[in-house]
Amino acid sequence: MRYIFGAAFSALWRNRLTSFTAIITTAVMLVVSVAFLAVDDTLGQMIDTLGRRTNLVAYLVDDAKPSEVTALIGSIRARPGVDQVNFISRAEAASSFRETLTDLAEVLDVIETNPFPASIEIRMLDPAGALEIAEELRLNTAVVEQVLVRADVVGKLLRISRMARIGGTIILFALGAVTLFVIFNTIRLAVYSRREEIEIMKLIGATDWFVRGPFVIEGAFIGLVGAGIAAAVFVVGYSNFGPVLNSLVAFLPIQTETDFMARLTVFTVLVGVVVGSAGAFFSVMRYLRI
Amino acid sequence: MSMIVLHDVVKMYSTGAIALDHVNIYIPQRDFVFLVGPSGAGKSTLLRLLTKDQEPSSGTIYVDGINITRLKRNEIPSLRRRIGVIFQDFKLLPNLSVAQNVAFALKVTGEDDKRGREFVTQTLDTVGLANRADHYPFQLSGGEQQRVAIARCLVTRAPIVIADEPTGNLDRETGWETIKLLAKVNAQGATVVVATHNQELVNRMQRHVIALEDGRVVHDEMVSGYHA
Repeated sequence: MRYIFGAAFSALWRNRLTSFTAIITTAVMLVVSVAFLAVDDTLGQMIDTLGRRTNLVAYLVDDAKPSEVTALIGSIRARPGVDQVNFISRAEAASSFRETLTDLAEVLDVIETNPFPASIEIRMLDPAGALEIAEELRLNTAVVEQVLVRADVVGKLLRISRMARIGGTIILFALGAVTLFVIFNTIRLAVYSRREEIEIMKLIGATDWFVRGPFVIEGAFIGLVGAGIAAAVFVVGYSNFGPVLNSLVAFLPIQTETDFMARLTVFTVLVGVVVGSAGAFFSVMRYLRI
Repeated sequence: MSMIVLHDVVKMYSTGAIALDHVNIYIPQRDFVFLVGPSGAGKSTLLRLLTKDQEPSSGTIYVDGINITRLKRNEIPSLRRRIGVIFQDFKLLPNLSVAQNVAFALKVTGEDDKRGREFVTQTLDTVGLANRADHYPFQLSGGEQQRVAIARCLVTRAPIVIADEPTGNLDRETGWETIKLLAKVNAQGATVVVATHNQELVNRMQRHVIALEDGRVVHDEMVSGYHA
């Protein structure tokens, strides 16, 4: 074990310029990746906040049977992601109209009949399910006349978020691949310069892990330091610029809590170490076939 | 008891060239054997098969009672720890001192403890390099470098030592010293296989000689000289 760590760190020092370049490249890639994750998180938060405010309203047909209405309310309540379901009777709708739009209250007196339909107002916990419920309600024509997803902002946000997530995932994978490639090549240079040593080791009975160990430690170290730098840049940048951005664009729910930062830091470091070790693992593979 | 047995071994390269053609060889324990023949006869290929550096196309090879043709990949290191290998170009690690090069073999096997270090000193003394322990390979002559390589084999107490043209890069006298050292290793109990085309050395030693030509065994005699 002492040999493996000793060999790894002496190689890192011997090839310090290449190692340094790999560390910086890894750090840059990870900073960009973490920034994407932060944007994705902000979008998620926005959907969550806006979605919670948005109500789904189902206007009911006038001659809907009370038993069917009660059954419908019960089935909606039972669904996951639904926070509250309120039944608004025709009378309640009219009185609400009178209270909110006092200037137009006389109109109702002129008409003499109550033109307002009864309705069901639904408040969602998880906005993702709102559109699905709306679609189901629309199909229930015996009870439901019309469905309103108030300001279809949920749908739009969900689409944006989905696109951002797909784009983000592609970019994250691309950046991961680039980082893997950089570390792979850095270690491959180290492996190449020590190929004779590896050949001798193998011929005198070294196990694959004895040969591979120092390189994997080297890769993991490059990943770890790169990730450490990336996490530091992110934490400093985000905790300084996050609040500024928040005060400028108040509706952006940018998270600056320590917990959020800690989660992203742990994630970054883990990705760095895993990608670093994997890059090294694969780069030495070819030279083990002796 | 046979230490090394090759039974009907064929080695054909992907190019179609046949390096070994139905070879049968029996090398007893503690034997000192010269593998002779012109360049391209199959000597190096045969040695590479013994360390599983290459695989035979067909046939069976036994080393120290084990059918190595059936060994799994993860069992190769333990086979190689039983075989000390000496190369024409010495294959020393240039950034390690003489003592470190010898100790490196123990490091690989995890025996690099205090007892191991004492054994390194003893081994360097055996090969006459005790006063060169802190020198680096580039500071040594060819003969001295070959003695370091022999010490690296000795230190692991490998029961088999194989040497591929160990005198190829050495002058006549140093070559003879190297062979004498290998004979000493043999006298201490190791089975020694030396591939060479140095006729003079073989004739001088009068030991077991196996001659190869175009991948076939053309001569195998327990006490012999070089029949070219």
